[in-house]
Parts: sequence; C-alpha cells; structure tokens
Amino acid sequence: MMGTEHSSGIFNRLKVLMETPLDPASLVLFRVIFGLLNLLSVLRFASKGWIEEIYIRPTFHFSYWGFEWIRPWPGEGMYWHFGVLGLASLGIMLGCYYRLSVVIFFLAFTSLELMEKATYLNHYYFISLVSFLMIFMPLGRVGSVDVWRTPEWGLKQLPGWVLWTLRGQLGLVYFFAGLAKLTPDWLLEAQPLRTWLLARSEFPLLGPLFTQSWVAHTMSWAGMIFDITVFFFLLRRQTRALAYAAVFAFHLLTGLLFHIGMFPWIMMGLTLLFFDADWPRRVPILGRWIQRWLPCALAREPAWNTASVSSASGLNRWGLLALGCYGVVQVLLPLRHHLYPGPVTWTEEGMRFAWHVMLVEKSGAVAYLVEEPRTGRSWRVNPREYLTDLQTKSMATQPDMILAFAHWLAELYRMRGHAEVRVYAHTRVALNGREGQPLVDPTVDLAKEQEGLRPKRWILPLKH
Amino acid sequence: MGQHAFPAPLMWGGLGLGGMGLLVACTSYEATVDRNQVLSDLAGPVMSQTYQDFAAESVKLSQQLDQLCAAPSSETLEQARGAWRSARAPWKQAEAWGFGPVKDLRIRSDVDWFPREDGQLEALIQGSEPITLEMLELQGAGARGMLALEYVLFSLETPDPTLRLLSTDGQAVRRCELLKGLGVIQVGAAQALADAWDEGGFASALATAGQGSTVYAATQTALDEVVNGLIFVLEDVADERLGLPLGLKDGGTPHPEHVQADRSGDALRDIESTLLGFQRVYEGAADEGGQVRLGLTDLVLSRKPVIDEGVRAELQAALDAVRAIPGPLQDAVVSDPARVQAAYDALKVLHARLSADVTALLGVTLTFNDNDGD
Repeated sequence: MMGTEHSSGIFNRLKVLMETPLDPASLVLFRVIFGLLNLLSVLRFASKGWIEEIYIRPTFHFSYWGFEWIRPWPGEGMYWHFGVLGLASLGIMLGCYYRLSVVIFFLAFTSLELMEKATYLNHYYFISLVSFLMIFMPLGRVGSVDVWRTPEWGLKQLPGWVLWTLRGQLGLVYFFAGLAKLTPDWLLEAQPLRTWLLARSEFPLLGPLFTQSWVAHTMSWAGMIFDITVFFFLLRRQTRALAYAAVFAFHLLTGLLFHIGMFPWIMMGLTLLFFDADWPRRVPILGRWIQRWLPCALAREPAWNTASVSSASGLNRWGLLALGCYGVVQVLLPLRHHLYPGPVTWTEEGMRFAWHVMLVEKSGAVAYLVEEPRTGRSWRVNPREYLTDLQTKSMATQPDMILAFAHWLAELYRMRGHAEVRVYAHTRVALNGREGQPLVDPTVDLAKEQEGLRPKRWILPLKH
Repeated sequence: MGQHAFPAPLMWGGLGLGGMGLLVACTSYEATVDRNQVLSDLAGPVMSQTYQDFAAESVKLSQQLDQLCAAPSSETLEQARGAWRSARAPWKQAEAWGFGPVKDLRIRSDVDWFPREDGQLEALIQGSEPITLEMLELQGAGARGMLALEYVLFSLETPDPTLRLLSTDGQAVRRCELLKGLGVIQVGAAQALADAWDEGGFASALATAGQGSTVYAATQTALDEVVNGLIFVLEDVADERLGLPLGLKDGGTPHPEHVQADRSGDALRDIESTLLGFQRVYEGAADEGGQVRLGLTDLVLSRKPVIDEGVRAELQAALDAVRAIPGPLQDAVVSDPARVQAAYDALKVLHARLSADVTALLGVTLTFNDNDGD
C-alpha cells in the first residue's frame, strides 16, 4: 500500500509538472537557438564542400540496416535537399509555418543521416530526436511569425511537458554518456583522452599540462563524474548556475581541443533550458530585445491561461503514454550493447544511438580478398579505390560497415561476370593505445554473412 | 523541482577527491619527446636535405647529358645513366612524404609521371618541329621528366641500340635536344622545389607547426601530414607498383606493362629508394655532423615500445622482401610471382601497422574532414 501511495504521489507530481503552464520565454529562445545553429550547420556543411564530398561523389554509400531504400538524390538533388533543410531551419527559428518547418526539418535531417552511415555522430542523432519531439510541441504558437500573422492562434503560456521533455532528453544524453565512461579504458588508462591530450600539447597555456598523466586521469574522472551528475545539478536551483558554468567550460574546452564541429555550441545553447522558464526576461538586453523584435511580443507579466493551454497544447492520456513509451525506448536503447558479447568499443554492436560519446581512439586498415572458387582466380581490393577518405576511415574500425562493403564487392564482381565469389576481409585495428589486432575473422566468407541484430560471430574478440 | 536534496558538493567533491587520490599515485608516464623537435629534425636533415640532393644531382645529370651529346660514347652513356640513377634516388626517397611544395607547385608532372607516353615521345623525336624548352613545356606530363629521359637513355632491345640512336642515327640530334631540354626542365623543377623548402620557408613552417607556422596552425596537423604521407606511399608502392603488375587487381593475370621504370630495369631500385625514404622519416637521419636526429620512432618509442619494435621489424622485412625479388620487376612478376607477392604482403603488413597502431597511438587523423568527433 505504501508503495502504491508513493507511486501515486510521484505520478501526481509528474502530472502537475507536465501540466503546469510556464512562461514561454526560454522555450522561444530554445527554438530560435535550435533553428539558428542548424541553419549555421547547413551553411557550414555547404561551404566546406561536404555535400559534394559526402553525398554526391561516392559511388557507394553505407546504409543502415532496414533503411537501404534511403539513398542520396541524383543530380543536384542533394543541394536542393540542403536548401530545404536550411529553409526549414529558418522556419523553425522564426516560427514561420513552424509545424510544417519542423516536420520537414526532421525528415530532411534524419534522412540525410540515414543516407550515409559513415557520417554518424551522436549529436546528429540528438538533433534528430529533438526535432522529432518538437513536431509535437506548440513552439510555433508563441513569439513567432505564425502568431504575428494569426494573433488569435497564439498562446501566452506553454505546458510544462514541453520544457520537461526537452530537459529529460538532454539529461539522458549526459547521463548515458557518463555511464558509458565507466570502463577500465576510461578510468584506469585515461584513454582515449590521454592520446588526444598528448596530440594537443602545444595548446596555449594548458598544453604543457597535457603531457602529464595525472591531468589525463583527472580529466577522465572529472568528465565521467560531470556527465553522470550534471543533469541532477542542473535541476537544483542551488547548484544550477555552477553546473551551467561547468557545462559551458566543459564544452568550450572540448570544442577548442577536439574540433568536434557544432556539438559543443548546441549543448551550451540547449542546456540553458534548465534555467527558470522566464530567465530570458531577467537578462536586461536580451529581455528588451525579445520584447521589441519578436512579432508576437511576450507578455512581461505572464497572464496564465491554463484552460487555453490545456485544450490547445496539453498532453492527453495518449500523449502521456506515447511520451512514456518514448522515454522507455530512450532508456533501453543505450543499454542494448549488454546483449552482445565483448566490449562495445571493440565490436561496435550497440555503439550507435547510445551516447557513447568520445570513447574511442580507434584506427585501422582493411583490405579485401575476393576469390572465385570455380576458376581459382582472386583479386586484392583496396577499398580506397571505391570509397572516400571518410568512408574508408569509418569502415576500417566498424564491423557492420566492413560487412556492407564486402556485400557490395560481391555484387560488383557478380555484375562483372563472376557468378560466385567469396569475400574475405583482412583487418588490423588499434583501440585506445593498444597494439593493433585483427577485428574480423579473415577466414570467414563475408559474402555469405547477413546483417541483422544478432551478434556477429565473425568479429574476433579483443585480446588485451 | 528541487525537492530532493542532492548532496551536491559532497558528491562531486568526494568523487573528485577519490579520483585525485588515485591519480596522485600515478607518475608522469609520458616521455617528453618534443614533437616540434621531431618535425624540425625531419624538415631539415631529412626532407629539405633530400630535395637539396635532388637539385644537386639534377644539375650533374644535366651536365652529363650535355657531355653525352657532345661526345657520344659507351663511357659518356654509362655516366649519363649513372647520373640519371643518382638523381632518381633522392626523388624516389622524397616520395615517402610527398606533401608541401611538391604538391603545391605540381612538380611531379615536370619530373616523374607514369604512365610514360612512348608514342608521343617517338613522334617528338621523329618530327620536324624544333625541340625547344617552350615546346617541351607544352608537352603532356607523360612526355616529360625522368621517365621520358629514361626512354631515350635506355632500351629494352638487345643489342642495346641507344648509343647508335644518340650518335649515328638520323634523329640523333633531335634525341639529344630532347635529352638536354628535359634535363634543363628537371634542373629548374628540382631547384624550385629545394628553394621552396629552404628559402621559401616550408621547412621552417613544418618545424614551427603550431608555434607561429604560416602553414600549420597546429603541431598535430603537421604530424598528421607526415604520417598520412607514409601511409599513402606504402599503399602506392604495394598496390600500384607491385600489386598492379603482379595482377592482384586482375584475378592473377600479370601485367608487366604496368611496371614503372621498365627500360632501365630500375623499378625495384625505385621501390627500395622509397622505402629508404620511409625509413629516414621513421627512424630519423644523421645531420651534417653525423649526429642522428629525431624521427617518428622517438615519439612511438616513448609511448609504446612494442609498436616501435613492430614498425622497425616490419619495415626491415619489407625491405628484405623487395631486395629478394630477382630483377627486373617486369620479368619477376611473370617468372617469380611468389617473391613479388611476398614483398606485397610485407608492405601490406607495414601499412596496416602504420594505419592502425601508429595512427591510433599518435592521435593522427586519417582523414582531413573535421566532420568528425564523437
């Protein structure tokens, strides 16, 4: 009975949190930052020539299992794709045709990621998830072009579930990133940080420290503790400012040290959501700017209108259930690697979509041998002849990609008139400072092996 | 929100102190090999010096070509051939890095381009248009450089008709004009390369990477370039210079026509030179005073001796395997494919060692795409 009452109490408190109308200021700012950063990402991607390099030039693309049907557009289609993505980002930022913009953004961004596995980054996955959640959030009904055009459609408050869902999503990223660091490599060997710091020993002021073992160990432990706990400290009013300062310093340092693109800026920007919902109003210049420039000016004194919030944008029972299911999936997905044998950093089974952030310094080489048993002929294939540098590098350490390219080679040789071929991969991979060792069993004909969720028996165990 | 009292300072502080306690016991394990010193030692005694040697040998080659044309004889022909080989050795050694001015100035098309355009060269010799420097500079890369010189200086026929073709043959004068012109172009290219490294400041830019260098904002970027250069050249030697003629890309059918420097029979000598260049970058080279300077080996050794031992042993094995091939290579790929295969395999082992162990150990980025990170 006690347990039931306790559960009921938690549920009620959760329900109150989810339904409480909130000042929309911080969520409007979140929407603007999200749209802006993604717009900048699109421009950055285009300016660096990556559209051509990653999506147009390669003759082969690494697809995700079950999503092989998602392919890059032919011709100039990819430029249009990025153009649409940029416009959708702008739409989100301005709140202009918000719902349409965010749906298009989610589809365009996620399909982009599904087109080429070699580009997988945890923060891309994070952006896909957040944009998916934003589809269901009434973020376009406040401080937006949409409301400026149709004022009666506007809301003065937003329901609590919007803010808490986003906070929860951010919290999951940090927490699981911290859990993933509970490994001997990270805690006892300070790897891969040790390698990375040594590679940046000329860094201004701090560089000389990076050659010291205690610095690598301290940073590894601090990083793990930070990731696991920062969510909880961000939640507490008493520790929030300090925790955000830590978030800022942590991401600034990793951004400057490791060239990890937009990720640090995205996390620094989005983590502001942990401050009180009306915090932008209390920032003098920002508050005035919001008041002056946003088409549907936010009320200085929020006029709570619970009824309109609940009816227009609150979560009903099904919504709550869907959100719960989403949460369960998000908790289970990062843990799925426990279903596979061997360390996930070696086998990569369950590595993606699990917030295994910056855990590996892994390099390798793979060469293929194609054999035709009927004639006894054989071909040595250097994958670089068919793949880009990025694809070659990514594939060399990831078994599922090694398998995918083996299948492609088998098909290529069949098309060249060799009815039945066997494909073998000769690999050498070094993980986190270890001496290199074979990743894939070189005696297994990969042409016969199937992709799927089952453990890949042809991945050789990590020896030491 | 905030109803549960998290033991915030205690939790962070406790865990932090616990971790620190563990760390205090750790000693500073990183040997202090100065990466910029390694780059400096490579830029000077190894790379810049090699290009200086190439420039000096190119001048000697040009002089020998003049002497050959002035007085064709068996002796001057052999001297010219010797000078060609002496110039080619540092050039092939320099392929072990292959970044910097050689790429920026597109020197390769003036000096060493494969495949050689034998038909175009023969048409040039048999033609009537005066052979001038301007005219040669307009020729395609396959009709210029050391392999074009090789076409005139060497022959696959028996008995060797080269001396006759350079002395009594009706087109002897044009052959000599071609030789001398190509020699002059090579001198210019080699000097431009040496100057770019020395006076142009590229060696200095490499040595000061991350410390005010005008080319490399970070030391690691320069180190990446050096290691990637080594990896690339191993791929090139294994796949293009051995694997392709051996038929490894064609179901085992040998293709001796893909052997580079076939007329001189120097394909294996070229490969050996490139591997010696690799060895100098990895192990370091002696300076003018005879003192051995730093190489990549010092960085690797300071972090993981077993990997350094592996690289050295596998490099030696690759050199031995190449030396064990009975030359010339175009014959060996047909008559003794097993030895060529053994050299190919040895190079692949070394390539994998570099691509995996050394790259991971030194935090080298294999790709030049910063769309990367987590």
